Amino acid sequence: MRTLAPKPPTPDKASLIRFLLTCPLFQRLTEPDVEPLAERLQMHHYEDSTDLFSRVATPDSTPLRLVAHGQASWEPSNSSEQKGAWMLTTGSCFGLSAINDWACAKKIPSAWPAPDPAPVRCNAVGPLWVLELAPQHFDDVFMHPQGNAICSRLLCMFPTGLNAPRVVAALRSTPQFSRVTTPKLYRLLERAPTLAYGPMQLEQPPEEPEEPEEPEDDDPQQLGLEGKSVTSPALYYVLEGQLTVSNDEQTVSLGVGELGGPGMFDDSPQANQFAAQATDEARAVVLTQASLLDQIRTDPGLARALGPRGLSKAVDP
Amino acid sequence: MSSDIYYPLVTRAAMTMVLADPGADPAALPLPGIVQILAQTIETELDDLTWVLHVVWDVALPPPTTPPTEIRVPFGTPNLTVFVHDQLQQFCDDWGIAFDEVLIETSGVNPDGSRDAELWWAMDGLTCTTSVDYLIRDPDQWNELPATLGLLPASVHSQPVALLGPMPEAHLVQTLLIELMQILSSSDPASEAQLWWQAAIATQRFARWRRRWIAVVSQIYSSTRFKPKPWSLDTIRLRFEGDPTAAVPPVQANLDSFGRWARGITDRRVGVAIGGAGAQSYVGIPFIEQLRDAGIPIDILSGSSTGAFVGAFYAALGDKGLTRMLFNSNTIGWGVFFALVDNIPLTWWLSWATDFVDLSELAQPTISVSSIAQTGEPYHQTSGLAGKGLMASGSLPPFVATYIGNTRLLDGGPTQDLPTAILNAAGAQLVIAAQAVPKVQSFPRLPDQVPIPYFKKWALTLNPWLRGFDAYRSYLMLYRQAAQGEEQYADVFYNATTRLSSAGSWYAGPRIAYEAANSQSLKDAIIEAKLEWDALLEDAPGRARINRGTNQVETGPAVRLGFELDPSVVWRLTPHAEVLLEEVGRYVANFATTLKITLINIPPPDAIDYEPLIEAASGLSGAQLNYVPTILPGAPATFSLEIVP
Repeated sequence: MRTLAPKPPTPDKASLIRFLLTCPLFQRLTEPDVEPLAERLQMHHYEDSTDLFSRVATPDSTPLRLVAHGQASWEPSNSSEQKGAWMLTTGSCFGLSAINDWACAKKIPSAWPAPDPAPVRCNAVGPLWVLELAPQHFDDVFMHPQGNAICSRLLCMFPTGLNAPRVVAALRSTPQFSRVTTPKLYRLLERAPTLAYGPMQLEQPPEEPEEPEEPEDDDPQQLGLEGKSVTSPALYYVLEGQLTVSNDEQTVSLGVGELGGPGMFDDSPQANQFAAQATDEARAVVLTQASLLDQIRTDPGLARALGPRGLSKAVDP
Repeated sequence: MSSDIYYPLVTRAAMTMVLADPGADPAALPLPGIVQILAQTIETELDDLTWVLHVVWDVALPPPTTPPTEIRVPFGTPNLTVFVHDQLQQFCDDWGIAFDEVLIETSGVNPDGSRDAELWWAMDGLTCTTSVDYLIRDPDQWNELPATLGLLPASVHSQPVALLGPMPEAHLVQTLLIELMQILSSSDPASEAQLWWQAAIATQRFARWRRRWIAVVSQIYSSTRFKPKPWSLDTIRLRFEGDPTAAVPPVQANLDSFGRWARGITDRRVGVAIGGAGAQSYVGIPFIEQLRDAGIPIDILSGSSTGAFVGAFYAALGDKGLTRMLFNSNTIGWGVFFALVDNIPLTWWLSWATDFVDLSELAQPTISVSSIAQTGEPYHQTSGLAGKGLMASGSLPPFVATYIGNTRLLDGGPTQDLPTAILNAAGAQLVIAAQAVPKVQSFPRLPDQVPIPYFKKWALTLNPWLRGFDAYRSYLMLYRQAAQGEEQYADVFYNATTRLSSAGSWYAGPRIAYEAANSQSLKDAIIEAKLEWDALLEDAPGRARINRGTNQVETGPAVRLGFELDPSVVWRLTPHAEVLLEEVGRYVANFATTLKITLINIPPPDAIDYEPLIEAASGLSGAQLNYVPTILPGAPATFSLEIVP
């Protein structure tokens, strides 16, 4: 039997870049986008049952972490989920609270203006390998000219993580997702950023094109928090404000805590223009059809779990 | 049902690559044969169209077949990852629509596992669902992957597959006595004894027994020094006896292993949770028996307290374990009684009754849940002496706590009485749960009109027996509430009922099992579980594939094939039809002659409108397309596709 390496190996930059581009959070970014992060990441190894937030974490002491191998349980104190329902696996990112606090301190407009999040219990389930970005390197990475894209991604995901239990509960109440297991839904939400709508649209730089983007570019993870509309089918879970989502055929108005959006499961996205607007400022977790398809490629059973039981054949009672 | 709901179109097979860790000695494994049998198991048991691709060096091979069975890698290929990736993508484009599952076996170019990382990365970026099943013989082989293989793609689902060794010898003394009798009764005892001794020395039988005995005793007395490392929580466990590729004679352990693996690869694992409720957890015995009789496989078990007993006894000994629990309810009852001051006697009995097995050795992973006294967290035990883990799971205060290492463990009920969520985390797609805590028995009470002086009531409230009784019943009430809270993670929730409830009366265990076996609630739960299992065998609602046996293009109920008007009132194909015709057209162009299109109740557009649409989408010429208009009263307007070879 081999023994564990006494010191975790440090992957080279090329390996790190290659790995980062396969993570759900950084999908469709380019090598230059993730390069500043790759330069500063360090591999750490934790033994089974290690409490990764062993004390009330302060922003200046908590690193950004990315699971390289292994599993960890994630239990926010304000959630009623049982241990095991929310698991972090390879590619999961955590410690976003520290990034958000850093962004607040830097007065970055897209930081989430929430009070202190509920304490979280995060325990390694088996040995865990984690890539860490130490807080003292946040400036180097995110203030880097190439670091903006990755910073936007991380900030988009922070409110999604905070509200994930509510979003998962809402998803499970839909016929489409009722049979999908809870860990799979949390994993799916790693591809669902929180976007802002309404007044923030006015803050867009004037050179931004007003026409909707092409569907292939319509990845909300690329949109950041600037409040652009997703122009392809998507599900919205509204966190703040009132959101109106429409396509050519229907308009749906969603309030806080409501999940919906026309056309997520429609097969006719080509002609319809999807638009989400808010009369006042609104924020919503956005899960696009493209994100769902991406997740289906990495999750063998997800496509089959969609829909109510017996959809694929007549059930003989 | 749900005809107005649309789902993502899935037109490509899922691809799974089977790799083996160098430490698992892949050269000694007949991997090509194993993967072939695995594919057959997926086809026969799960009704998925499955194909095997072997990655081999391109040396003196016969002409390729159609579809190809090999990816032929030229010697000297500078970048194995890129080459194999491109070939897999090509197969996916050409043949992905004709299969549900494609297994990739690589021992031809990777006999010793030294190129695992390169091949793993070849799966990244394929336009289908991708996963890697990684064979290991030791938990550290999985735990150390970043050290041995480097960083691996997060976009490829990875699944550890443990190759368990043979079940350790359990009752050596008993076995030795039997063997001694056989030697003495043989015609030549002296030479028989010599042979026996040589075999024992060659297999290190006594050394293994001594190590095991030390591990057992040390764990019973709370040491963790000899506790084995746990497998990763979602590990599929296989136990092969003899040559797993030998079809004759059929070995049940091998058949079971391939079945478990097949369900693991296709994400159809079934988890069963049994709640802790003292003797009432005996309802788990008929529950498991009837699930098995209904043909529902059990891949993972979890339980707390006596629910964990039932699960572990079954995983360790099968039906014999359930029978042992039934016949020994009084023994357990006495053990529980002594556990007011010491639970070591019950720990010994539980260890003996489970053949001193370790939880990590069970082919059906069994998660025994207890509560960590120091933190109030649930503790999911998947390795260590089963008897010790079960004792920890059943250490309900005021009975004594159980130490494992320096961790003080209490009954699993306070934190997870019915551990369902952890089954999802362990990879169960279908979770079937037995909630065993009954409603407390109601007793008659005096009507308010009967005058009772207050001091008598006060005296009653101070009565220690009555207070103890109230505390006991409060436990039941609280546990029942807690267990009901776990329903959200279960697909089937069996709320067990018996005519009389007696969680604390162990002698009543057999009666409880009997009453549960004949209860309507159990029958209903089994029917529901069967429906859920059957649903798990279905394809995705948006699945579309070519069945090469019938030449039909089979589509799920959510696939929309037809025509629609676009916003400028021009006819076009539905997007599902557009994509599917492209895939099928490519297949026909390469491997068939004609595509037959049966137009069912298709209203206008006229042929002049739709034929160019179909030709453009499929990329086929008019001569390769055969249209057959049909009227089926009551059927929706659509079209179906058939391949003409």
